[in-house]
Amino acid sequence: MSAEVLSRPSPPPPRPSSSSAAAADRVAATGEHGLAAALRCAGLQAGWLLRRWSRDPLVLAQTLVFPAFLLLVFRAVLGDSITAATGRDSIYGTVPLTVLVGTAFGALGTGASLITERDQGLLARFHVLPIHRAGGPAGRLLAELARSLAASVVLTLVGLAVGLRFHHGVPAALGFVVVPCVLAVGIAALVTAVAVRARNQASLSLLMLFFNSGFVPAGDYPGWLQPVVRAVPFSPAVETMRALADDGPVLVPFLQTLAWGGGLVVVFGVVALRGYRLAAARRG
Amino acid sequence: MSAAQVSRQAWVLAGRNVTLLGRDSAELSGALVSPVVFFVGFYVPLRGVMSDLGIDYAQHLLPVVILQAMIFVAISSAEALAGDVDAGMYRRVRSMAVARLAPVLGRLAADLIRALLAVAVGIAVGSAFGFRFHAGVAAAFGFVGLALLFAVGLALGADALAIRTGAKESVAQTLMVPQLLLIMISTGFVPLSGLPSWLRGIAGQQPVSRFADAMRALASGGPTARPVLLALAWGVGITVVFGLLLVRVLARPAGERR
Repeated sequence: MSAEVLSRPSPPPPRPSSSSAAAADRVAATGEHGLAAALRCAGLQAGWLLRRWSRDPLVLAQTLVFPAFLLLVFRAVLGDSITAATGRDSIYGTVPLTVLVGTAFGALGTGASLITERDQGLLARFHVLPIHRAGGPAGRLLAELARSLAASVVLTLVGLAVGLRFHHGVPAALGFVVVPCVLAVGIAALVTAVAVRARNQASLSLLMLFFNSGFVPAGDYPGWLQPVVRAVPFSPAVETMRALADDGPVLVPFLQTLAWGGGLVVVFGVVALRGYRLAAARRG
Repeated sequence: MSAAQVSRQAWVLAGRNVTLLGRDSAELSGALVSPVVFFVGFYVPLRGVMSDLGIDYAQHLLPVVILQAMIFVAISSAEALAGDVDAGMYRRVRSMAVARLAPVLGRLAADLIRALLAVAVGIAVGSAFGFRFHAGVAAAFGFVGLALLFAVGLALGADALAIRTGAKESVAQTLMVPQLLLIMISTGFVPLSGLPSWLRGIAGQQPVSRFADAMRALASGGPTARPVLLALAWGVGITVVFGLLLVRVLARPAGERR
């Protein structure tokens, strides 16, 4: 499916852009010490990244277009069979799955844009300017959250058009939209730390599309595989969203999702921060 | 130029293409890994669902996985050829005493080898999960032959696009969406009866479905004449139309180096 899309990244040619330099100057104007400065720097960086990503075809395609397409195709082609065989409407697994796919695969695009920023020397420039040290990473995190939220909102709307219904009112629906963002932080840290260095493995990362409880319920996998399928990061998030929209326990899968998101941030956040600092310290 | 000369030239260029493929480990592993990923990715989760519907899913799924690999062969063929056009290699060869057809024939020969590799990997992974040829050796060769016909037919069209545009990245990205539509909206993953009724008209008739139906019949046994004839009709049609398109593109001047 998208293995080929992923394995054929089209890195944009590095070119210094005047808007990047202007952004650097604006960030520089806010000072570099104190919590207020950290927040302002993070906000500016997040806004700049989001504008940048919204013009990046790879990020847009992987975050919104491909998952929406996948949602429609899975719904049309596999939906009836899975619903008939499992007795649970497949849409409550497919929408969460495609939101998470948009979050994770889009992170491959944002990871690529981070490399470009490094190679252009932009990170190094931010580093020598009077910018709060936390501004860059925190801004990136904020931007990843916003990107994940965008994927969630758009795909939920598409889902509503093809049969997704919320049975537990507005608060549960809002929860449905926000839950994937919990995992998005961890996925962003993971991709920043690892995936940008190993992009050839993209076709293997497709496996996470299939091996979770969103594609078909965990009970439909072979018995020995079920513990794995229930444990992978996507599954608790899918189960939380399924429960919020349709049926099932919310608390336990939500806590598992939190644990996955937090765990990934703790483990890979450290690596990502080190990488960020190294990237800022050298050019190319 | 005699046919012998043309085929010698094509042979030399095919050797170059195969050497380049052998050196590109990412390309090679992508070609070999993707059938495994897609087969396992669909088979393991959906096996239970499909056996509830009375379908032996290894037998049902393998043709569409192989056909998708064949589409990837055509796309990477276009990508490699567009790379040659972009780098000036194509124009260089055109300026020499080499038949116009030779670079394309050389490309197709290398594509055939890549396609054969992908088919072999597909059959190997399918067999590991229970896929079997129940209809004998001749039918098995027919199974492989149909896959190769599909690959070559599509590669002709993809190559025409590549020579015409010479844009490596955009060729691959342009072909990716129709690829996904053809593969997913077909009878390859779910039998016709499992598709929503508004989709059945298109899904049942389109080439991937016809090829998948024929290959399934050749592997599993049962009546083969009708599905194979329908697939052959599609295959010949695709080859003729894309072949004519390619000849038209080859007749044009090689154009500016980009």
